[in-house]
Formats: sequence, structure tokens, C-alpha cells
Amino acid sequence: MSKMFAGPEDTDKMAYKGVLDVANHVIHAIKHAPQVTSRIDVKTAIVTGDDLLPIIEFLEAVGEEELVLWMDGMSYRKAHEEGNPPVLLLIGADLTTSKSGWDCGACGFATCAEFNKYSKLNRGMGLSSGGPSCMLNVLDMGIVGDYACAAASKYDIENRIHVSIGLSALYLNYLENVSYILGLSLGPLKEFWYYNRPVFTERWTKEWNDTWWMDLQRTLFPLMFQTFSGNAHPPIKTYDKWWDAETQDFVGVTPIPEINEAKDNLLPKILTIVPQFRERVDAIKARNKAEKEAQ
Amino acid sequence: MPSIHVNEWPPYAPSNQNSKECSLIAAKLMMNAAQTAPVTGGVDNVEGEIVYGHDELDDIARKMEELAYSLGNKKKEDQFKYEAVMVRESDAILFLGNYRAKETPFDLNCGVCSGTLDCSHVYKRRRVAAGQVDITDRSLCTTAIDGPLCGVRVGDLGFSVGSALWMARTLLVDCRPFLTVGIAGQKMGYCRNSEIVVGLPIATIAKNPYVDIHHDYHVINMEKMIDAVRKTYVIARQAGPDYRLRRLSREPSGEEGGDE
Repeated sequence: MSKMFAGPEDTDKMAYKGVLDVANHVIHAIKHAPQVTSRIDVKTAIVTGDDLLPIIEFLEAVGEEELVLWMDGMSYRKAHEEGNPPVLLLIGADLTTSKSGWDCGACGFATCAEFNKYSKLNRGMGLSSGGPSCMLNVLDMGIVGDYACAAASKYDIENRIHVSIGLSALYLNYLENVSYILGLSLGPLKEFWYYNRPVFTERWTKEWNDTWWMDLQRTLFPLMFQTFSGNAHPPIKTYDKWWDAETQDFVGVTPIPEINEAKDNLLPKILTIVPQFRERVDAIKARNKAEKEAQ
Repeated sequence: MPSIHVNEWPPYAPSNQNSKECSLIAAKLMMNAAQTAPVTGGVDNVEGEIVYGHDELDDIARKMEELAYSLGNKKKEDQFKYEAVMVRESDAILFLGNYRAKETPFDLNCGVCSGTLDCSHVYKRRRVAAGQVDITDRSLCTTAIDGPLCGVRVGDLGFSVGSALWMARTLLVDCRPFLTVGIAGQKMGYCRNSEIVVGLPIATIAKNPYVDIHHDYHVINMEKMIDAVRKTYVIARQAGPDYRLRRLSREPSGEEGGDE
């Protein structure tokens, strides 16, 4: 047998290549997942290195208003800059047509035929998925997604399933003829990259905590911060020494025009910026096609 | 027809007890996995103990809260307090300890503990009699863990904890190794022969209770939130009409129309 010594840099590179092998194993598990209907046709794709850049920049561009998109973009950006990019496994399927004949009613229609007729005439796009979808297809997509995660966890590499990255891939047309995509990040080879969010932790300053985060907490949990409610207008403990504050704050259920506007504008904004990113993904796919033809 | 129903909420209700019992089975398998982990020289040196039950876990959480202050470690104060909340959310705790690390070092001159080519680092800092480490005077310890410990033994404990975690991951139960829990458990007499103990809380709930923990978690958490709702909602109920005498019309909802 030939001799071998691989030092730290070599083993890092080897481990990264190993993640591609894991992606391959995960695809085995996806194809082998026991579906309820066994009717969804799951399509997969693997993206890594610079070919992730359209997704990263897209997440950054739409992430100003959406924390989760912003965090995922930031996590991907840092990993890519450190030369340790994730291997992204895209898992997609067209869930819009019921083929199982269950007539289960989970979609709200009495029969699959009625649903399919409705679905065909009402195709559309939500924020993260196309639709309408057959609920049993959705169920099977969940099983497939879980099998993918379970397979990845067997290999003990950092992984997380993201709707955010799936929706980016859907908008940018990485996978064609699918209505829904889940993005499974494999790597970077770190502990807790997507869970305790080291990239996010770096930016979690006292100022950010005291303003943005605590404001969010108080908005999410008004009852927690609520004082005596017997007078029907319970003040909220907005300040550290709320009893000393000159004026007190109250929670009301009221429209907030700028937030309504931002929500209304999110989808148009996404659709406005999609074409510029799609061109890049089309170029990636054309390159891939040319490479295959040259072989 | 007999059936086993599980539901996470409310905690400790029969349906939740069913899944807690399964977590206990996972804990037992994890304990066995820990025992088969590779150990230096093949010499057994790991003990395990499983604790479960509402009051038992609460006792450990309270001990952790006490240690948050009594240890006087400002950097770890929050960690003890936050992880105490996680213990209360857990189904069971597996303690794994190394009972040789303090008293019977591996005597290999390996240098793990000191970077020197002998074991004097450990022996010189301990009461010794007849060439043996004498642990009888436990008042000498002023820290959470009474060191120095044999590095080889501590490494072995790491192997055991790793095997237990791998088993947890294989069984898809949530688990994370905590030193805070281990220290509290050890002080309460769990894994009593070990000077270093790691606590592995195990949970079978939808949201992994051991990650994505925000600041001030000891006062802002699920248990406190629910208590706040109970506390404030009831106050808002201090007045109300006699619902039998006063019926208000509603906005029509859909084609069926309202009730008045």
C-alpha cells in the first residue's frame, strides 16, 4: 500500500470533499424515504462554492425586513468568506397535483378530481412556495425532508433545513418544474453554525439587545411585561425602571401603516430583483449543460 | 382497546408522561452506550446515574440556581441560571462521571495534565499517604470541582459522553452535555464516587430546549410566560355581565349570517 501523510490543511480539504459524499448519501435516503402516497417525484440539486453567491446576495437583498432571511444570508456569507462554504442540497417537488386518489379531504375539496381542477386554474406563488398543494403531497414532502435531515445527522456534520434557502432557490429557478423547495445546508464543518448562530452572536451587542431584541420581546409577550390589568389599560414595563418613568407605554391592537406597507411591498420587491439573480443562475445552469456536452 | 397517546402539553399529564417514559428508555440506552465507549487501557472508570421526575429535576435546578451565586463566578452565573430552566424542561438527566480521575490516576507520565514527563503535578497537589492519593479530607476543596485530575481519565469521560450523545442523536431525542448540571448533580450525591460529572439532560419535545436561548432566560421562559398569562388574565375577569341575561349581537360571519 502506498504511504500517506495528510496534515491539517489537507485533512480540512478532504473533510470538505467528504461533505459532498454525505450529500450523496442524503440523496440516497431521500429517494428511499417511505412516503405515504409514494407519488411525489422528488428532485434534488447540489450547489456549493461561488455558485451559492446568487442565493447569498438574494438573501441579503431581501433580508432587510426579514430577520430569518438576513441571518441565513449572513451565516452563508461568513462561511463562504472563510473558505468553508456549506454544501447546499436542494430538495424540491411539484406538490400541486394530487395523484394518489385518496379523496381524503385534507385540501378542503371532497375529491382529488375537484382539487386538481381547482389547482390547475388557480396556480400561484406565496412567499415561500407555489400552490395550491395536495396535503398528502405536503405530508410526503415532510417525510422526505425529515429523512434528509436524519441521514445528515448520522454523519454528524452541521446541518439545518431552511425554507429561506429553499424559497431563494425557487425564485432563482435553480430547480425547474417544482412548486416547493427545501434547502438542506451540509456544513460548514463547525459546531452550531445555524443554531446558536456564531455570526449573529458577534453582532449581539448590548445596544442591540436592549433596543431591538427587548423591543421584540415586549411586543411578543405583552402579558409578561404587563402590570396590573384591573383598570383595563394595563401599562407595559417598557423601561428597566418602569415605575420611575415619566410616561408609561401601552399596547394597542392597531394598524401600523409603515409595517403594512413593508409587508405589501415584500413580494413586489422580491419579484423586482429576481430577474437580475435569475440571469446568473441561468448562466450557471448553461455552464453546467455545456460541461456535460463537452464530456 | 389499549393505546398509548402522547402529547407534549400539558407537562406531566398522562400523555406527556408516556413520552417521558420513552425518554427514560433512551437515557438507559445512552448509559449503556457510555459504558461501551473506548477507554484508555480498557479499564472501567465511568459511572452513570439517571434521574427523572418533576421534583427530582426541580431539586437539581434549584441546586444550580444556588451554585449560580454561591460559586461566586460572575461569568458563569447566567449559565447556571439559564441551564436550570432547561433542566426543568427536560424529561430525565443522565449523569456520567469518572470515578478514577481524582483518586486513581492512570500513572502513565503522559503529560496531559501538566505537559511534564511525570505525574507529580497531580500527586504533589494532593494529600498523599503510602504513595496513594488520600481523598478522605473533602474540606480541602474550595472550587466546583476538586482538581487536579488525571487528564487521561477526564479524556475517557469525554469518550463516554460522546457515545451517549451519539446514541441520543441516533434515537432522535434532544440532549446536550452540561457541566453546570453535572456539578450540581455531583454536589447532590449523584455519581457520588466521581469528582467530575457531566449532566446530559434529555428531552422529547418539539423545540429543542437546549439551543436558541436568549438573554435573561431565567426570567423570560415558557413557564414564566404561562404563569404571567394566568396571573394577568384572571385579573381581567374581575368583572363581567351575566351571560344568561345579556347576549350581544355579532357581525355576520359568512353566508350563514350572525346569530342575531
